[in-house]
Amino acid sequence: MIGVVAVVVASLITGWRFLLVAPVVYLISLKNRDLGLVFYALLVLYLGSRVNVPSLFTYNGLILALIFALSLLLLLDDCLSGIRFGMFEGVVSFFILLGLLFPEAFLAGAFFYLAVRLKFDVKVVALTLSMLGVFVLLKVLLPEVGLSYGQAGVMAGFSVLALMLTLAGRNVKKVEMF
Amino acid sequence: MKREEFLATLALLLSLEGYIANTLAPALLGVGILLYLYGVRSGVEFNIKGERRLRSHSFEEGKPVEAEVSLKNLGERVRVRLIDESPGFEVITPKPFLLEKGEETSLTYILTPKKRGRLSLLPLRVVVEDERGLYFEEFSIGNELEVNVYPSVDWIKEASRVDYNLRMAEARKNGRMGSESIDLKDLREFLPGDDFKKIDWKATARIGELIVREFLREEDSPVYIVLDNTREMRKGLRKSKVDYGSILALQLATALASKFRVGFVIYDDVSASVLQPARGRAQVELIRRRLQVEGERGLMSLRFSFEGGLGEKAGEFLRNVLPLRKGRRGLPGIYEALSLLKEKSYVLLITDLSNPRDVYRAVSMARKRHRIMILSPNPVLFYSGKLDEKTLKRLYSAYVEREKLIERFNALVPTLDLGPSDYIKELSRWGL
Repeated sequence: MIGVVAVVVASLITGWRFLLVAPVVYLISLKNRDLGLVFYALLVLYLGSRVNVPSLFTYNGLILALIFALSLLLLLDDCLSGIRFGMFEGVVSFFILLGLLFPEAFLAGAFFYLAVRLKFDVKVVALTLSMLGVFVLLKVLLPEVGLSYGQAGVMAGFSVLALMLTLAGRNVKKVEMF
Repeated sequence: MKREEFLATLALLLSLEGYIANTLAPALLGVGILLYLYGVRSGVEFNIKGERRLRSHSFEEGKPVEAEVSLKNLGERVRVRLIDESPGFEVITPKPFLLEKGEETSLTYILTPKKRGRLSLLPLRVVVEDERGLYFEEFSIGNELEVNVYPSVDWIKEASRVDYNLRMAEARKNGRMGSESIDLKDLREFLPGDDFKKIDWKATARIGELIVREFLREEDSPVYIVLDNTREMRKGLRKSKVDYGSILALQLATALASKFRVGFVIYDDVSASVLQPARGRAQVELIRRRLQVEGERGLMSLRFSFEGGLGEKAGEFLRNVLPLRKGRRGLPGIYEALSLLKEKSYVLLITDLSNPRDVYRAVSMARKRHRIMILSPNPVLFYSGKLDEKTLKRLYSAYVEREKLIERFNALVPTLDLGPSDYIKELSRWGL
């Protein structure tokens, strides 16, 4: 439920009304989780093409990109976990709603929620800090490389690194779709 | 495709989309999804302990038994599903449920043995999934047990009924046909030697002397030999069942015609004809002339299923579009044959039971009026074709199916399963 709230608030903060389609995906996932995942994939790929954030080196750009990414991550968590709303979710929802006035509160609430729900360890923190470090270097040392392509390329590189971290992790059995 | 793989692929696609579309939001989401997957995978911890106890160690066929399962979750919050795949049991398990970290729970599930004998109860499989449904693990609870499943009371009652019919077919109290019927003839004084079971206590109490019931003897009831001459009976490579049936019918007629009025009915797939009952050699000769039946060269179907070849909807459609003669379903020959018997009779029905549904229905109706015995040549024993591995397997499964069929018919009327050499042996069993 927190993801649905986050997406609706994100839509109001950013003015991206197409984000309001997202709650439908949540409802589908309640009926059939795998179908919900498929619709989630279609939705985020579509939304990604509609949202234009050319650079993370501007404050607005960074805030918008983070709001977009975090709200959809929370929605993904909802689609996978089902209905879940307790005291903790209530507190986080307050911060997310506060985001209507202060977008930073939205980010704080979302980060806090994900940090508590997921078991982030040293490796994740190291990866995130590395990425931040690279971006800082790009901006300071190589300003012409710090264009959109370069930034997207850096993030793609870190995506691959994150994927390798995941695959190299514990050996667990995976659930099949459908 | 696994769910985790699907999400990983989506994340990479989002990165690609960001690069191509020159926008960073989807790329950031892609990184976020992969970090999310890493976080979920790191946080997954499956550890379930439990035990299974059976409420009863005495199993009866068809009677449900409850098994109690207690589980403790020593890992993270999980969704639990119970699976019991013990062969020979029908299992009803509870729906999947959530188990919190550290939570202990007790629940029951139902096991119903579907067959008798010694069965294996396998350990219970407990499948646990993380709450997001991305990863799972399996645990085994309980040990493998060998259990004895006893026949149910209903099965014992039916077996007794089958046994009674078999004994009735082999030897009666007076060992002959023509013993007493249930039709009361008279009440008279008790004489030494009378059966005590025939004492009429009401009349005895009224009159003050021992009074017995006297029943009509059935020597005047005719005996009808009914021969199945349908297509399946006529099939055979060397000797068809109808050839055998004809010889048996003639032997029966010869043996019975001196003492009883013997009639003869022959039916095929669509019609039947009757020879009215009479005594003597002349009657036997008339029956012999009616037995000019010929076999057909061909392989037997060896199918004894009660189920129809068509589905319910298809059958209903055909019944509406192509109604059979006289409004009956299935092959009408046997219904017509039994309906031609006007007076109360003994009926010796010679059929291979290749149309078991029709025979069952027709006999169920007819036995209200007549006493029926089925003499059934076993098609498996009449098989004279080539024997190879495939044919042997087919014959074996047909034989097993046939055994069940004979049992089912014996619950209805006495039914004898005959082979190609069963002529005199069966006659002598009836004491003729």
